Parts: sequence; structure tokens; C-alpha cells
Amino acid sequence: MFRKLFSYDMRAVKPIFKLQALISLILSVFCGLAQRRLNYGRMDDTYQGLLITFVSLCFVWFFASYFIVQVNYFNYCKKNFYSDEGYLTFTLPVTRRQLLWSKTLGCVTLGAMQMLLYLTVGAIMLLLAPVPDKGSVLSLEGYRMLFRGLADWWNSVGAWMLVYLLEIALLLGCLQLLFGAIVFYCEALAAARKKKTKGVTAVFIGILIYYVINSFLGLSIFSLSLGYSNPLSLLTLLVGIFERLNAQTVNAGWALVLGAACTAASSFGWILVCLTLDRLERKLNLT
Amino acid sequence: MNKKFLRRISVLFLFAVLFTAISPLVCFATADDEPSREFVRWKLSEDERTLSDGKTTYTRYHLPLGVILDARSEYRYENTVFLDGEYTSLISNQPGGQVVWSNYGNFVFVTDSAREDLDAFVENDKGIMRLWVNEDAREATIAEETVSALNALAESGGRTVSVQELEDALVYILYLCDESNIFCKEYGGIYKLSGKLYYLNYRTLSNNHFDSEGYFSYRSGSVTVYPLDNTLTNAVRDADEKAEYRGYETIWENEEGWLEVVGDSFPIAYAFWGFVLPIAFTSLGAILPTVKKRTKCWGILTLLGVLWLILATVLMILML
Repeated sequence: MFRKLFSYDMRAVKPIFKLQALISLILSVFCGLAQRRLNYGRMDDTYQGLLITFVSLCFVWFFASYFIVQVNYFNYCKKNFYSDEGYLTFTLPVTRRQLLWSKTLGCVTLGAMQMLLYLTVGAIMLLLAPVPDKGSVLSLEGYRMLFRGLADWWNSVGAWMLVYLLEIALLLGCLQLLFGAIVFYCEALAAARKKKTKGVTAVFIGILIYYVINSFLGLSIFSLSLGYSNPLSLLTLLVGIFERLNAQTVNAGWALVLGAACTAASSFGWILVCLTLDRLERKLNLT
Repeated sequence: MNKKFLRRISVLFLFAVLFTAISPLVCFATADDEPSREFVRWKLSEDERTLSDGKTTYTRYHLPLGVILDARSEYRYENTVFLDGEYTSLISNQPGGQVVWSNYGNFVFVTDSAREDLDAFVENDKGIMRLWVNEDAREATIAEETVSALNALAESGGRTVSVQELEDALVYILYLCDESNIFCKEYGGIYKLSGKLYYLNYRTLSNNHFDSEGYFSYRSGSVTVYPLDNTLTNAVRDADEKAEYRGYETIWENEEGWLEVVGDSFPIAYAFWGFVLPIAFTSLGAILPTVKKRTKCWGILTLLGVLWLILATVLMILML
């Protein structure tokens, strides 16, 4: 039954994700070609300005579309649980835990799918952006540089590179879980109010809380300066660790830092999932 | 309160005491040994010939034509000095380095020991020989025997070419650098002309082949270049393959400011993120099942908290 629930949730997000994927892939081709033209140089200022604006707008789309799709999914979950549709949802022969886990897993899966989409977009642009040699259409220079960078990384850290990559992928999953858990908890809190919060307000409040937390921790790019002045900042922590690890301990040290970051993000996420579940089971208010 | 609850609380209390007791250990973890980056207050003598940072005295060194200041790392001091009619910042290759130079490299100050080394470098052709790939800013060290063999080519027949022809060719420049990697001299050039490599020893050329800064000039004139045999061509190609992109490292003295801030608050940040938070999570995970049901859910939280504590402890041990 859990599988059916999960595929039902995924089906709900399919149309908008397909649209995001289609637009992003088409834009990646044009964006790559525009970058190639910019890399080639020799053009008048107006044309150059237009190309730079186009490339910037493409990147705005890549950034914004992530949130558009996510907000759409969270809004679907909100309707599914806390609107009139909730009467039907909670009569299904499944536990509320399964219902919540299906939505949470859906959020993480959606994040992973978007990440794969961005990797594909990056791969296309990497193929198109460098200026090719005369007589050829595509240039592998970008890939050569990428693999040279990876080879250099491998030469300097050895098999630790695989550990890092695995941990980074795991960390992205844990952060997506945390993001989803914060929004779900905000939705649950908003639903418990007598005066119901309308529309996607709860979702936006959730996203806002996520970014306020990030800013406090010095993780948001807008709060880097605040990061150093705040003694609990993660930047202070990471720079301090970097200063204290020596050549023998640096690889194991960073693997531990990434592992601890995964554990910390999943702990925060987990507690919010537990609290949301508690609300769903004990304090649900559909009226 | 039931006994189970009290037992859990006491175990947690023990945990908390244990970890809070060992967390200050991280305060003793110190950064790797590196030269002091204390803020330096420079003092320049009235005749502008002696510079002092309070501990070390540097005296002015006049670089002869052809010796290039080409440091691979720069440590930029915050404090400026009034030199030659203007305020100029000072740079060294590292904190407390033996050589200090002004912002544009037009004034160089050295310690007594560095003066001896630099004199020896200027007078003799001893040092590290580097092959600079001009096309894409890469460089590699090249064996002395290869350079000797290149110089010996002058005994064979050469080809006379105009310097303008050399200017358009792909070039590998040979630099002789001192041990500190701060100063270099242009030694020679290997030019690719119609698919073949030719060597030009700058040392054998007269003054009119160099510009006012001592670099080989492509303005006018002709020179004799010597073709490389197969062994030397292969040696140069090997060096080209091994050549790596040459990066420059710049460190600003005022970074010390934020490093000090980090240094002061690091133990607090580590104790909070490494111990206080996971202990809070572990406590919640252990206590909540007695208040609310859902033992499994809160149990997983306890496990995550304990795992977090273990990772933080192991990391702390690594940093000690």
C-alpha cells in the first residue's frame, strides 16, 4: 500500500516536473550556445549585453524552477492532508505514519530527480559552452578539464574521493529531508489554527524558516559576514577544523565532518517528522 | 515519576557530564606549526635604506638588470611605509620572510643572510632551472644536464633568424630561479620554427637585444638559433608534458583578524555543535517515549544523537 501511496504522490508532481525538465533542457542548449558565443569574443557591446542578460535569466530560471516545483509539491501535500480532501485521505486503509512517510520520501525523491536534471543541464552546457576547434561542432575541452580536476582530486586524496562523493550525495538527501520536514511541520502548525492559513502561506513560512536558520548558521550567501561574528556559526566551526587538521588527519577529518553533517541534518529532520506525525495523529483539525 | 524515567534521566545526566567534561579538550587543539602572522608595524629609516619590523632588520638591495622579482607566493602586510614620496604596502613571500619588497616590486629589502644568498645568485648561474611554457602559463623544472647540452649546441651550426620571426613562434623560456623561488633570470628560449625546435642562449647576446627591464627584446635585429637533436627535443617534450599550471598564492595579513575571531570562538562552536546539540537530541529521544508514545520514532532520534556524539568525539581526537 505504501508503494501505491508513493506512486500516487509522484504522479501528482509529474506534470510540473516534466514541464520544468523540458524548459530547462531546451534552455540549457541555448544557454550553452550563448556562452560559447561569449567565450569566442569579438562582438559589439549591445549584442554582448543581450547575451549576458539571456544567460543570467537562464540561471535565474534554473534556480527559481527548483522552488516552483517544490512549492507546488508542498501545496499538493497540504491540500491532500488539511483541506476537504483530507477527509478522503485519512479514510484510506493506511496508517498516518505511512501517509506522512510517503510524502516525505516523495520530497526527497523529487529533490534527487531535480538534482539529476541539473546535472544533465550542466553536462549539456559543458559540451556546448567551450569554443570547439575549426571543423568540429562540439568541444570536449570542458569535460577534459572536469576529468582532469577529478583526476587531480583522486591523486591528492585517493579513495577518500569516493567516500566524499558518497557523503556529499547523502548530505544533499539529508538536507532535502530537513527542508521537507520543516515545511510539513509548518503546514501542520498552520492547519491546527482556528483561523486557517490560506493557500501556500504555510509553505512559504516553512521556506522562510529554513532560510532564517541557514542565515543564522552562516550558510546563506547573504549572511557570510554575520557568519564570522556569530560564535555558533558553522563557518567558524569549519574554518577552525580546517586550521587544526594536519596532513595525516585531514582526509579522515573531512569525512567525519561530512558524516556528522549528515547525522545532524537528519536528526533535525527526524525530530520534525516525529513532531508532525504527533500532530497528524493527535491534533488533526480538518474543520 | 516512574523508575524507568528516573533511570533514563540519570544515565543521560552521566552522558552529559562526561561529554561536557571532555569537550574543553578541543580548546587545546592548536593549528599546524606555521610562521607567526602577528601584525607587523614597519619602520623605515629616514634615508629609506633600512626597514625594520621590530625584530628583524632589512636593508635595501638594488636588483641588477635582468634579475626579475617573481615570487610564487605573496604575503601582503597591512601596514604601509612612506617610501619614495608615497605610501606603499609591503610584501614578502611568507610571514617573517627574509626578503620584503614594495607594492610594485621597485624596492627590495633583504636581511643579511638573504643578501649573501642573493649576491651569490646574481653573480653565479646556480639555482633551479625552470621551463616556462609561454602558450598556457605552465612550468616544469628541467635538469641541469639538459641545459648544459643545450648550451653545447652552440658548437654546432646554427641558423640566423630575425627576432620578429621568433616573436610569432611558440616559445619555451628557460628561467634560472634562486632557491627561495623569489628571483629569476631569463636564461634562454626554445623556439618552434617550421615544426622544429631551436635554442637561443640569451647569455651569449649583446645588450642591444634586451629592453630597459632586462627582458629579451623582439623589437629588431637578428640572432643565431641552434636546432635541437632528437634527445634534447624529447627532453623538452617530456618537460612540457610534466609542466603544470603555475598558480600564485596571496595571503593578506588582515586575514589574521578573522582567524583570531575563529580561534576565540572555535571551542564554543565545537562544544555547541559537537556536544551540546547531540546531547539535547539524545536526551529528547530518551525522555520523550515516557511522556508520549511512539518509542521507535524517538529511539531512532537517540541513535542519531549518539552517532553524532561519536563522530564529534573522534574528530576532536584527530584534531588534538
